[in-house]
Amino acid sequence: MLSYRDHFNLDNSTIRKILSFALSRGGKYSDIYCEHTIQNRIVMEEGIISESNKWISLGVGIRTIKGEGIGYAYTEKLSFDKLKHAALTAAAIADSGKKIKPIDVSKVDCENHYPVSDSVTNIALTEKIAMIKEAEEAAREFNPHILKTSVSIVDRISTIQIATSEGKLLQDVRPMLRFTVQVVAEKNGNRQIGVSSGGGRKGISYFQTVMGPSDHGREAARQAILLLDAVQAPAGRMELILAPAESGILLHESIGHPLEADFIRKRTSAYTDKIGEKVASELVTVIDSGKIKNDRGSINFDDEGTMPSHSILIEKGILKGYMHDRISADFLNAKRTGNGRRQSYKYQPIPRMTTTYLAGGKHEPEEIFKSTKKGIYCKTFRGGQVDTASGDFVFVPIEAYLVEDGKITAPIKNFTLIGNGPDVLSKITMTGNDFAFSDGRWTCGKGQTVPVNVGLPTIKVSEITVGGSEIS
Amino acid sequence: MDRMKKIVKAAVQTALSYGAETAEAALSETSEFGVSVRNNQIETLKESVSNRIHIMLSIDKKRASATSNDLSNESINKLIKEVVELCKVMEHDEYFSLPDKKELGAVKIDLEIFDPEILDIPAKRKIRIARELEKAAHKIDKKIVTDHSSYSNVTGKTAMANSLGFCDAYRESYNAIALSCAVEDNKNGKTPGRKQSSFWYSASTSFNKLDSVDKVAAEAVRRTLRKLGSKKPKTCEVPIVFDPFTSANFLGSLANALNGASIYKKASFLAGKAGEIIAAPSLTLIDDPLLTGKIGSRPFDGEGVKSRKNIAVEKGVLKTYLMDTYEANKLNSSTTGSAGGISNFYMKPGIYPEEEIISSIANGLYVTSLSGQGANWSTGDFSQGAEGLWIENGRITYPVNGFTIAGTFNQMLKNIEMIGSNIEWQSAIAAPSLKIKNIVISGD
Repeated sequence: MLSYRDHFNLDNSTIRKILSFALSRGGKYSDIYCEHTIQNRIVMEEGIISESNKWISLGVGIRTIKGEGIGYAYTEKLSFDKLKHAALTAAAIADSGKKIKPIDVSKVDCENHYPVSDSVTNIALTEKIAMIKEAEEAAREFNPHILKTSVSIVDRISTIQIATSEGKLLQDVRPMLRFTVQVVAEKNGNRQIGVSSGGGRKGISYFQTVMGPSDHGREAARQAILLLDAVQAPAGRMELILAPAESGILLHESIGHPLEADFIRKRTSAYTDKIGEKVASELVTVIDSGKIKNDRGSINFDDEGTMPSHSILIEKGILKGYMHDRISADFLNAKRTGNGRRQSYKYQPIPRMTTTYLAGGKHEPEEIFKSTKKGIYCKTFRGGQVDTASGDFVFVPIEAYLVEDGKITAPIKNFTLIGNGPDVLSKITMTGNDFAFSDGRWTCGKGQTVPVNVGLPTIKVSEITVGGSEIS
Repeated sequence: MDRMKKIVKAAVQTALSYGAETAEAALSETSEFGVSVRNNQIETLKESVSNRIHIMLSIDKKRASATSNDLSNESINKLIKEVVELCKVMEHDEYFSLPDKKELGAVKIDLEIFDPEILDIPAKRKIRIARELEKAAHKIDKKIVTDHSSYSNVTGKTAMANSLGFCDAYRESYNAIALSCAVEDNKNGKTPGRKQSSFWYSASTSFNKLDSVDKVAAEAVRRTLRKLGSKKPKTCEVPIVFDPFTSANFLGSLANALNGASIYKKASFLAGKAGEIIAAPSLTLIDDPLLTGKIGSRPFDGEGVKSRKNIAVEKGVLKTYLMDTYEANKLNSSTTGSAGGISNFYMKPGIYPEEEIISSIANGLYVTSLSGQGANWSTGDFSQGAEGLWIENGRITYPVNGFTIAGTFNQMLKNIEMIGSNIEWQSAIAAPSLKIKNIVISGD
């Protein structure tokens, strides 16, 4: 177990003094966010363990809030003078008002949603290299058309300590594992890429219980080989079936981002003032939870010290709530949801998703296929993007197929799906009984990056615009 | 800067003394300031300094590296020791080497990439600029809701040394003003809550070269208001024009496709195409770190290789990839001074004013925004979400959205018909408007 004192060396009296400086200009609230991160990355390329990088980062971010205003400063040197300077810089957001005194901080215990006793960080380098080689071999041997393979393993441990002027002191150790295989396959001058990646706040047991190194190798190779024979996707409106797990990207973009409450507070989201209204088909129940065991999106507390929640955003099609940071919750008089997150000590927290998913339904996947005359079926995704003001969003499939008369036919490639949030969510006509979370590989960008996850059962969308290049 | 040079020199010496055969150390120190305003109130005010040291060592062509922000002597030495140990478990990579000694060095001309004035401007004035920018937008149209209006600046120092005796440093600065805003777009009462939003910005290495707040506000508001009442176009195949902003976005994909690492990994549609015609003869793509006062300018690259201008594509012919030493070794070529990525990567402007390009189209699309990860420069496939304005009989008419454009990079590059004279330098990637003969639009 890591010791917090070793990392940050901040005793209670120092914390109290620094918080006093941060509030010295009349701010209403302050917090001190300490972070120490060690990340190891090893890469194999073209059959050689060619790259290894160790990354160490230590810093303290100090924030003062007054109303909707934030003063923010960070320092990478943890001397009292540097911390004081950062606190006074943050304090400058306020320039009047009654000074409030911070109270002494005392430790708040929190539930550990990601106990890891077999951290990858602690295993010998030779063991990591053996796993990488296993994956590389599995990919290479999958098919003679596999031309290039690269494999990487990244493990990270962040130690976090937050002290608030409300008297809370919270401490956490956040592990993260990510294993990735990428292959290039080539046939008759046509080259395709396959990627398989996964992990989460997990230890070595991930490889035994979820996906082993060779499973990732074979999966990346399978995708690339499949895509070699894929045809250009069609253009125009058609029916859409989404496979379980990764397709949750649809929710993350179409409804997740526009429900982040900074956009609500600023009234720039398409879902401003819509609580209680019908915003999706009655089959749609959407949840954001930061409490899923060992999940990539999970947090023991958010980056401003609020406990994570299991928030029902949409229940049977009715909008129930937004995802808040402290500022938006206070401004909108709502309950804090534990969605105030940041990339690192260099950033102030803003409302972000954790793990966003659509609850399972009653339909057998076979029924969903049977109901589809002419459509497409998408299994894995590259990512997506949304315009939170209009609700227009795109998401980009990798592995996908044509569906004709209820049957999967040809694999297709090169297309983007485009839709409008409220429109597409109203067209979810079937939800499967085969819910699954995605393997942990998603990173969300909103000016800063944070790890997230998604989940979904098989679902049917009665119509969406498929952006291929073949006009029928 | 002398202090920083001393640190990297010492790190290289320490590494050699611990048994490293080659060593490279780079140190950066970055100061940032940012203020963001909404409804005339300060939303965020941020100011800080950060450091980063990067060390790369090799023994018998086995390499390992480390990055840290702890610059104490003791920590750096401990880290170097760990990297030396890491090297020993890595594998021999025959392509690894430091650059040729004759390639190393800093160009002697003043690139004008550091403006000391940025450091002298009082925070109060920077806050006032962010407020004035927002005010200027509200003055144009009261219906505008601002998301944020900001001024920010970054100043940095970079020092680098390696075991071939290279040691140099430079300073640079960057500042920007940006405004993003939204407006209600309730089409005939049928889309309650729907809004249209956009943003605009101006960025430069020096304070005096920023566009005026009035100009930036006007452009942000114009880009927002012109989207009101957007329609979904019919699925069809038509000519398109990328505006300078989306043209630069398209160019960004080409920069990735020309990158030496993508080429040797065969993860670029341009792999194996050196010397071939890849585009219409009007297309010339240049990466030039020596332009004065530009955001991507630098005296040497990430390996200490002296900066030089590279013409990657000339009159449609692929002349060179953009490579660092390792990538060049892999490709049996020489470094182009591109370690750390592109510098100022741009498309050589053509002869056509944008109006003339638009007026050449009877029925087509003017693209103002692209979205998603569907520009797949690895395989050469292209499908992206888009927004824009429809062109009829040579004139811009109504706004369109909710559609995609799709094709392949090969076709798109060969189908370039006209290149504008209107290049815009707002980032390290710059391009003029670009007309492509035809592309598939997927909409209704």
